[in-house]
Amino acid sequence: MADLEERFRSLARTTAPDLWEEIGRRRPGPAPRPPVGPRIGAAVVALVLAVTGIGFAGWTLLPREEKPTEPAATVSNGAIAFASGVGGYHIAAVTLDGAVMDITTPAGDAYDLGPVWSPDGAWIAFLRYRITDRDDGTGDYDLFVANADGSGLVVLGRSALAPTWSPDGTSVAFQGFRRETDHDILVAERDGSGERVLVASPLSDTTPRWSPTGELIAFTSHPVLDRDPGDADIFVVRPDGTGLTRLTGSPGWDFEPVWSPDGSRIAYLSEQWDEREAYVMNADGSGVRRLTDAPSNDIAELSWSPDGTRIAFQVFSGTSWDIYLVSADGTEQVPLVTSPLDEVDPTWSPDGTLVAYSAAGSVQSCRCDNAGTFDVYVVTPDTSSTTRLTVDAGVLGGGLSWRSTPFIAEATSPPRTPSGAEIVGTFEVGDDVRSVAYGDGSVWVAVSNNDGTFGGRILRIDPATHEIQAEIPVEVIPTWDIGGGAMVVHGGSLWVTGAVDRPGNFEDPGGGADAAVVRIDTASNAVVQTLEIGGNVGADLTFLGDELWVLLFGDETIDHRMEIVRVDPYSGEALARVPLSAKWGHTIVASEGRLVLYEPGEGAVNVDGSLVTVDPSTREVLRVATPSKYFEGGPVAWRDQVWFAAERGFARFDPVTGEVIEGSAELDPSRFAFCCGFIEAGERGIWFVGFDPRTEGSERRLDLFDPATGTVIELVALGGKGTTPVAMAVAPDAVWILNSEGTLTHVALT
Amino acid sequence: MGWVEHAPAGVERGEALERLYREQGARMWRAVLAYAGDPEVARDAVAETFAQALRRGEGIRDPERWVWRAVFRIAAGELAERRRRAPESTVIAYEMEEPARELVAALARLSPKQRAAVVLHHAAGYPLKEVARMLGSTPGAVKVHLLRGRRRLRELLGEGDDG
Repeated sequence: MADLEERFRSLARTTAPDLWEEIGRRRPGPAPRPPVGPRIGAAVVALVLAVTGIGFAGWTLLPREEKPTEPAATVSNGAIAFASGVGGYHIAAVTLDGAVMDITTPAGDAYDLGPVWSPDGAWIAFLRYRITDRDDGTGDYDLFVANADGSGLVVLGRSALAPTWSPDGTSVAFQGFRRETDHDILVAERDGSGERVLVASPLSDTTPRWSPTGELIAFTSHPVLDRDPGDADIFVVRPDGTGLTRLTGSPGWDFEPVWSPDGSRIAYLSEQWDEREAYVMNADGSGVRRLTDAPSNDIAELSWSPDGTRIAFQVFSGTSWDIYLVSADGTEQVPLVTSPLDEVDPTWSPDGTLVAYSAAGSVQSCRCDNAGTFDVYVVTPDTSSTTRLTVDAGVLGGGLSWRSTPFIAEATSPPRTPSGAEIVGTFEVGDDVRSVAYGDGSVWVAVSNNDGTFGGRILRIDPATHEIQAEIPVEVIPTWDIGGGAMVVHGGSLWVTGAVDRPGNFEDPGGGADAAVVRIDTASNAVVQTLEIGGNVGADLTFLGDELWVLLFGDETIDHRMEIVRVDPYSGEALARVPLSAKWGHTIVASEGRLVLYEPGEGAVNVDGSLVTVDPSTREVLRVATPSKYFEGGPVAWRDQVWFAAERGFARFDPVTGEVIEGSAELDPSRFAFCCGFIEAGERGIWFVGFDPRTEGSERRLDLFDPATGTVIELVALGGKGTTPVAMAVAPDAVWILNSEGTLTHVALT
Repeated sequence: MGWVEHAPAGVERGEALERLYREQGARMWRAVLAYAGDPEVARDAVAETFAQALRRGEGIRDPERWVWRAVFRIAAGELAERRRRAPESTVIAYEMEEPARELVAALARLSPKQRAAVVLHHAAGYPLKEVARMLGSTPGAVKVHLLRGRRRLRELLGEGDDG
């Protein structure tokens, strides 16, 4: 059988028709031109320059005097983020002393690439590529934002590329695919909310770059899917979508704008007929000046020095990619790294003392940049010192991103593994307790009125003093006796789902109830809204970005099967409904843009069930049988992963592919046994209450499973049969366990 | 490739383009055939591309670069237009070796991005950076497309996996 290479050779032997005569017949007629809108004067000047020759530039439009910009006093050379190929493409970061930290851990077929730190280094945006249709191999990119250590993953955009942060780190602009090859510029808030289309021209709008002052976003616009290859030009637009202005108008391709650190100038690449060079212009499009005299037509990846005086770039020498520096006025161009190896992706350090790049480990036999194994290097601008930071990291092209604050571990989460835990105390909170949550600095406990209604009260408890700060009467509280959930603190509100009494609906075997969601403003402790959403009883709720999704028991009209309903958080209107086949469900979580829950089997709720993943955009439901007979709790979302507890231990579930990831951790049955049917995820790992088999099951214990290492830590004994845990909430420094006896146990982590 | 840079002064643009077509037109047609899976689309795109290049005359100073960039855009537009007019694709007979025919059929089952990456890199000979720019993507992303595309092709063609 022919191999792939032979098939391409076979293709090369296919006889092509001679089309020259036909070309001659088609030739008459005017050359098509793209529509030309109003252009500012500077663009006309750029056109003149392009036509008359670059030599005019110095005469016509002298750039402003180069004045170094002082780097911010607080910057330091933090970790360099890159896409690592070790163990599957994921985002990692390396410090100048060579310490490497993995930031993301994509599951299954996913690849993470293109990391971009937020300006303050607290967040990182990156792209995740994965197969989205297993039948035809279609793949796509999603844009994610995570905390600097990879936790708190949020989807910002689907089919997205080229993220760029607002200077204040609150928003990200990116290039989204609205159709196959038509890109638009979109903006979303860092938490995934408020996505809006900023630019949706008939052209393809790509590579947005937010100005350092925050006032403008530059991008490239070029024709697609027409019969005119046309030109590409650079535009700017304000972040509110107004003020769209074309900056360049040369007959060639002007693209890949890069703002100077002070936002006064834009460097860019321009392909003026037979050569591609770097140019610079003022932020209003004036003062166009050619910067480079590249040895070949291939030049890319412009990176300004922090003081704005120099620009690093990569250029193809004819045999390999090299890195050069050019002064920001174009007067001096010097090689920085030139070797027979490929050196790509130059990136200035935040303090301007180094340039990072990635380089191949061996000479490539073809002009196939990014082939082979690349590593991260740094070099001083005077070339006096070069240091290799990674070894066989398999760096994937697409850019390095240099963090301007110290290494991740110093700036973000506390250590994942606590050295110990102690019970601070157990105190009474009410007779009929239903659920507990932590958020906005408080512990929230739902207590039923125990009067035959669905109503109750929400207790707001000070985690330090255990004082009840507020007791909030509500019509709706969680209906669960065990397992908790159904309460989420999100966006300055506590969201609670359960049911409201519907006296006129006694025909409903569910007990005369409609599913409902209550929203309590955590600033005022006031019940802001009670949303009645039909169905029967709300089981759980979760937020997917800013979308509110509720898992609910359906009413008799759908044979009391479960539904997942997207609810307008303000009107209560059901915006989307996804029917399920099961009649019981407890927990729903959101991860990687999917909704995940567990459906029980026919016999009992924790036997022979399935894990279910729902694509909220297509409503597609994927069911996968659990790998073991008994289901012990979950699912929970830990960082960007979904985990659940099964018969033998913890297992990881890929919500996109529906695969249960092999190699998940099993528990030693001589030491661990799940107790109570629920688990909870926190930053440090997945928490569960277990029986200790060594005490013949009489002792319960709080344990921690660390998914990063696969280890389980025995933390603290919870006491004997006097308390029965029914729900749990995880805070950064504590775990709060609700007991059926109406008490709350505060476990402090040390 | 790159002969235009060495063209003697005074060579007429029409002659230069004809030389370019004679040198690279067949390879271009095959690349577009692999991309579009349709010899008529390939024929139309290549002919239209060179016709436009002739119309633009001296306005194009690097015809080689220009036509290679243009032909895939024109092919994509033509393909979209044909699908709009006739959603049910028809198999058009064209004489070619069986391995090549199977390859073109398998390419048609890749996602458009994978197919474009594979064809532009392996059939048209573009480096990743150039492919990335044409697809509005990044070299890293294109490399992933290539990895996935080749793997998928091998699956479809019943060959081993290259990892």
